[in-house]
Amino acid sequence: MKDNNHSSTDEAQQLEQLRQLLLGKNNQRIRDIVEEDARKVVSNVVAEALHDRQTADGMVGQVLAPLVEEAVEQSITTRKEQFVGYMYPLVGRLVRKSVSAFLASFVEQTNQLLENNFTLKGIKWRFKAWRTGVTYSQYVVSQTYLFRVEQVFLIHSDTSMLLKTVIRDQTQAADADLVSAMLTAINDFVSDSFSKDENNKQHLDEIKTDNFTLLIKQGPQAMLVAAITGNAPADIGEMLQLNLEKIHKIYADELQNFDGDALPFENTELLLNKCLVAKQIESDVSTKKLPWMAITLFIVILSSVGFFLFKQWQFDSKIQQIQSLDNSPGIILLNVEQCKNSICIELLRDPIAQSSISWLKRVDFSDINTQITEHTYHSLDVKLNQKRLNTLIKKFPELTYNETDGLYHGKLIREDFIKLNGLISALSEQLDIDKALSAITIHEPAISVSENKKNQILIQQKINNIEQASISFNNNQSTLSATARGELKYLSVEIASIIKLVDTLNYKVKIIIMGASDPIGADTYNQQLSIKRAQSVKNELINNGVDQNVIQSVGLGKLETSTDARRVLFAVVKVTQKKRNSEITKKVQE
Amino acid sequence: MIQKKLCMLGASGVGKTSLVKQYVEGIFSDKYLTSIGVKIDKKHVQLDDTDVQLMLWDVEGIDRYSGFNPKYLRGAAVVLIVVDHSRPQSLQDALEIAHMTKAVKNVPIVLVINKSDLTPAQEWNDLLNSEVQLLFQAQYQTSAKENVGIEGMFIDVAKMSLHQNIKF
Repeated sequence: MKDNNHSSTDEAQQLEQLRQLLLGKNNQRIRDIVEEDARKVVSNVVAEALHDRQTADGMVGQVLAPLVEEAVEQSITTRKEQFVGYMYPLVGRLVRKSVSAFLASFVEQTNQLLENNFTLKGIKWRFKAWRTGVTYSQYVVSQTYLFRVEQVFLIHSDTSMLLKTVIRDQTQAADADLVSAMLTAINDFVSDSFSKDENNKQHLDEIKTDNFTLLIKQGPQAMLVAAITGNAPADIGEMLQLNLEKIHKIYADELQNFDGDALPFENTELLLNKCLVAKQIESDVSTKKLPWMAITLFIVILSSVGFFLFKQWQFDSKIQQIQSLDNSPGIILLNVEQCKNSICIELLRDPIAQSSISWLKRVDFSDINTQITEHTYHSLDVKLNQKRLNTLIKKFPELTYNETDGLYHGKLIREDFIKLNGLISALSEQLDIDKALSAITIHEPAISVSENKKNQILIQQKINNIEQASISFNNNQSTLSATARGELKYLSVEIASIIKLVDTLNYKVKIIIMGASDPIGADTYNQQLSIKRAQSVKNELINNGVDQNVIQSVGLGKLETSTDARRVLFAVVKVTQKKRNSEITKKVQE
Repeated sequence: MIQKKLCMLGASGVGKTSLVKQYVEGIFSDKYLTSIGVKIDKKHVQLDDTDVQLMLWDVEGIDRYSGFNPKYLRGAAVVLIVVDHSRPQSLQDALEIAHMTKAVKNVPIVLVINKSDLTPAQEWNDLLNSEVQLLFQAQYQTSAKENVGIEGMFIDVAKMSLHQNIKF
């Protein structure tokens, strides 16, 4: 029994010795080997291990959170100044960045709105989108982007169930579950239809339509499908493949044990979003750099505001200039204001004063319309009175008007002097008429004039004598009685003297001998009788030496007065020498 | 939400498509069925506290001359084999399909006896032998025409799919 005990103790000791020889003291050799590679081993799995533990029970977050909080707190307490220094430019930059980002996006949005709605291109696109039966946004994408990944599907290969999908434009979402299932079915259908070899698995890689591509990347557990509009570049497939590999690496267990619950794959969203890439058409990008539509709009608004202000300023300054104009005699400014696109001026103006346009000439109205309303009035201004007096001298060429002393100078006959006096008093009650006329010399008209007048009076007397004379005849007779012959002799002398007098006055006279009869008897007979009576008188006068060119006989026919109608009457007509045959100006009797 | 794939198999004209149509309002048109050989629909089912989305793969009619694409069974939680109550031949076909299915995949199979509104064939009960009991996990009587037994059948199948803790 003792031996047995002894031998077992020996064995244990020997084993211990052997262990120490092989593994070193306290397994030091194994530890050394493990520690040597520890860094490499851990670094290979640390990210995956953290993910696994976090998904398993969320312990990683719980352990790390207080550690990180404590470290940050400690760091801030001990190095407060440094932290303020670090944060200060960061916060300032953040604010600036946020403001400038807001402004940039605002300008960009305005520009897009304008471009999409008001440009020819926008309208054209709308029409084309309507014609091809796609929505406007889809058409814009097709025209604006070289390519754009619209949706990404992560599909479990075996069950063909959708694990996760991300989509760019929520309005265009298709039923992702059914798409996933159908895609797998199509994949299987193609694979079976074109490959007879069971072991040689065929997979769809790409499905293409005119402007749409489904890019399919197969992995052992899942596949990644990107729906792309436009022409997808080659490198996008590579990017999808890399993301799919990452998903396989991180979600290896979840994919393996998938039982229809897609919840564990919610976090793949970040990776899938990275696949939603897009590239705009080059030319469009270059034009987008400058939001010219928005700039144009701003310029238009600015320039119209500027133009309006400039116009306003122009109006105000013109109005001010007009208001500060010196009051010209006879012009009173009542009101000046802006009305619509012109300046309205209302004023009182004396007709004798300068025209309102010449008064306003000092203000430049070349680029502004004006409307002038004039009301006439009578000004009492002294300067205007002088002007009024000055206008009168046109009617009196003998006079001159001196504006300095306000007096008329020159000679006038009394008749004109009285006329001028009347005209001045009609102009204005305020004028000092006597003073204005004080320098005029009045003179009498020339004597020769009075000689003429005397002759005129003489002629008038003789004409009266002739016209008052009448030669009577007996009933139904045209021969002259003895009394009549005597009377005609006197008349002949008178006529001769008139002709002589008239000659000196540059005009001539004509004696009309008018025969008449009583109303008894036929009219034609009476007409003949009256002519005969006139002729008898004419012949007698010619016999008495009167120039036959001066006298003319006419028959008046019957006269209504029955008693003294049987006679011959005389009328004297004044004939101006120049127009002797055309114009009888005046009956001397007047 | 849990998703489960169900495969509808059966001879031509037994009413698989009618069953699905009756159950869900089909989104994809029948042209998929003729070109690819499968028509897929989905239906939400609320089971107690679990929300299940059934993906219904309606596989083109199978007869003795043409097989079916076994790939369509991949990932299926339950396989439904539909037969016509008035055509004994369809049950013969169903047995064959069930054998083919078992060969490809170890998955619960249920027998759906459709057109229950019609008079059953005389030899029908003779055919429902022990082999049938062995192959099929459950049997259901339905009528797509009169909408009898469909809802309950699918709910049962959905429950069955949940409790099948199978590895795909």
